[in-house]
Formats: sequence, structure tokens, C-alpha cells
Amino acid sequence: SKAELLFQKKIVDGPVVGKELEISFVIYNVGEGPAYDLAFTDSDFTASGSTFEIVKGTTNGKWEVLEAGTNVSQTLTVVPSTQGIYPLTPTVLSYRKSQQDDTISYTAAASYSGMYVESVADYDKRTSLHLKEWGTFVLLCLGSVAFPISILTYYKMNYVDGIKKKN
Amino acid sequence: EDVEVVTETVATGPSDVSFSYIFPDYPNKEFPAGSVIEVLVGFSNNAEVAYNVSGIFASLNHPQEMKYYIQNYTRGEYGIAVQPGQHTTLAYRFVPDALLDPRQFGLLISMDYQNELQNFTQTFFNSTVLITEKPSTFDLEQFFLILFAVGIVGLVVFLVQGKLPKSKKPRSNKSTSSTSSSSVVSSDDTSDWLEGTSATSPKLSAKKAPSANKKEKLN
Repeated sequence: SKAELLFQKKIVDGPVVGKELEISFVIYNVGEGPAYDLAFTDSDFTASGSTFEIVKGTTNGKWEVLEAGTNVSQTLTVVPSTQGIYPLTPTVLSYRKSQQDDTISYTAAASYSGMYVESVADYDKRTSLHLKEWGTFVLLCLGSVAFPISILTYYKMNYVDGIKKKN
Repeated sequence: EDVEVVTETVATGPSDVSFSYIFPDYPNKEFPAGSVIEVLVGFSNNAEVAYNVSGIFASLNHPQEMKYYIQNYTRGEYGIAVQPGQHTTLAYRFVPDALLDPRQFGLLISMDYQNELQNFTQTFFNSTVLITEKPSTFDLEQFFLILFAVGIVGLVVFLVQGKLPKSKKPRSNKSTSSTSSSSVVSSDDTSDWLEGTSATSPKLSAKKAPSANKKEKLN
């Protein structure tokens, strides 16, 4: 009974400049036995001169044992500071397939080959409710309706059956 | 212990690679139609040579007759080299069409990989899966049920109002229509000044009208 691990570097939300971006490192044990001495270190967001600021979490993970059929995860929260395309590398996880096994096994994480960090302006354009545009539209619509209505109400107030009211 | 290690390493041909998979979000293989299904695929290279994983592709098939293809999903291109003794995890995503009937389907997921000499394709997932209805906040069936209920309530209100007006209408006429009474012609208004004309007895128009005219002329 040996462990078989699947490792994923998961980014769910689209990265946006100045917004918190969550990166999950998830390890699934799909084998028949527990895995031992799991460890990984990610270097995508910690390089010198990196434009990512780490807000929460760490870029490495370590577990003594992972039972079969279970999973563990570690999240890292970063804030990108500039727009652009950033390469992502498959993080390598090392582990032992069984307690007796002295050889260390490695698995490379499934991940995107790169990610595009969107600028705030692009993000706003894509996601805003466009209140200003809708407001203008409604005002213009009202304008075209208000003029006939004003004439109608003036007529109703001052005339009865086409004859001007006496009082 | 040593024996176990030996049996692991002895492998020839394309069988010296092994696959593993997991559907992280849907472990019981029940996929809601129209949502993104992710499968993590593990590829272990136990051979002496490197393998290159070129792509993963999947299709939805008839559950009994796997040769009938219902949907083909976009091929994922990877181009990842896996060195001897190494293992890699790949993520593949596909979306079962939102209009699929909620029932069982056959799902095939295959991987294309090659060494320097040969190309291989292996279907590592070949099983039936259950496509379920997408859980939605807006339930069309419920919407029309509510609409139907509102319609019935409206009908009841309309019918009840139709039975009541005899007690309500006169009151409202007297109170509100004092200024606009010119447009409302009631029987009381007409009876006085139209007496003796054809307007009071419209049924006697054809035969008696001429005689009435003669009388008027004589008078």
C-alpha cells in the first residue's frame, strides 16, 4: 500500500493589481497508503524584485503524514503591484510513498504556465455596474417622455373637453 | 521490502507509465451540467527514458455504446517533459453542456504522450458518470408556479370585485362624478326631456315612427 499524491497550485480568481490574490496549494492522496514527510517550496512569488507582496500565508508547506483519501491545502495571499504577464512554474512536492520507503518521490504541481495580472482600470471597466452610463440613459429617456407629459398635464389642468376652464 | 521496490521498477513498453486521477470538486463523479469540471491527472514515468506529455482530451459518450460520441471536449495542450522516475500532476478542465439531460453518460479521458521513438495514447478514465441538473438560484419551474398562483389570486380578486359593485358603485358615482356627470347618461336624466320621442322607445322604431311623425305634423 503506497501513497500516490496529486499536487495542484490553484488560482481561482483573476489577478488584479492591488487586489488580494489567493493561491492554494492542494495535495490529494489518491493512493492506498499514507504519505510521509511532505514538503514543498514555491518560488514564483518570492523572487528578488518581485512585484508581489505577500499578505498572508507562506510559500512553503510541510506535513508529517497525509492519510489515503484525504487532502491538505495551504493558501498564500499576495497582492500584485504591476500589470503584466507573469510566468508560473510547477512547484515540486517531495514526499515518501510509505514509511519504509527511504527514497524521496517528487511530483510537479499542476498549474498555469503563466498568469495575466489585470490593471485596475481594465478590471473596473469589466466589472463595474456602469451606473453613470445607465443614469445618463435613464435621464435622456425621461426627457423624451417628460415633454409630452407636461403638455398633457397642462391641458388637463386648464381645459375640459377642449374648452378653457372659466375659473 | 526490497522485493516490493523491484516489482515496481520492472516494467516494459507503454505500461511503464502509470496514471492516477481525481475530480477534486466532484469526487462522486456527479457533474452538474454547464459547470467547469476539473480533473487532476497524475502521470508517473517509471521507465528509463523521458516521456513528453503532449495533451489530454475527453469526450462524453453513450453509456452503453461508447462508440457513440455525444460531446467532444477541447484538447488541453501541455508539452511537459517527464524525466525517468519523475511524476507530474496536470489539470484538465471541461464543461458538460448546460442543456444536457440529467442522466448517465460515458466519459472517456485520454492522454497523448510520447518518447523519442513512439507516440502513445492511453485512455485512463473510461467509466459512466452522472450528469446532474445545475443547481440554480433561479428555478424556472418555481417561477411559473408563482406566476400561476398570482394569476389565480388575481382572478379571485376580479371575480369578487365583479359581485360587489352594486353596493359600491352608486356611492362612488355620487361622490366623484359630480363634475363629469355630463358624460354619464343615466336613465333618470333621459326620462324627462326625451319623453314622447323615439329615443324613449327604441323597440318601436320601424313601424310606429312614421305614424308618430304624422301626428307631430298634424299637431
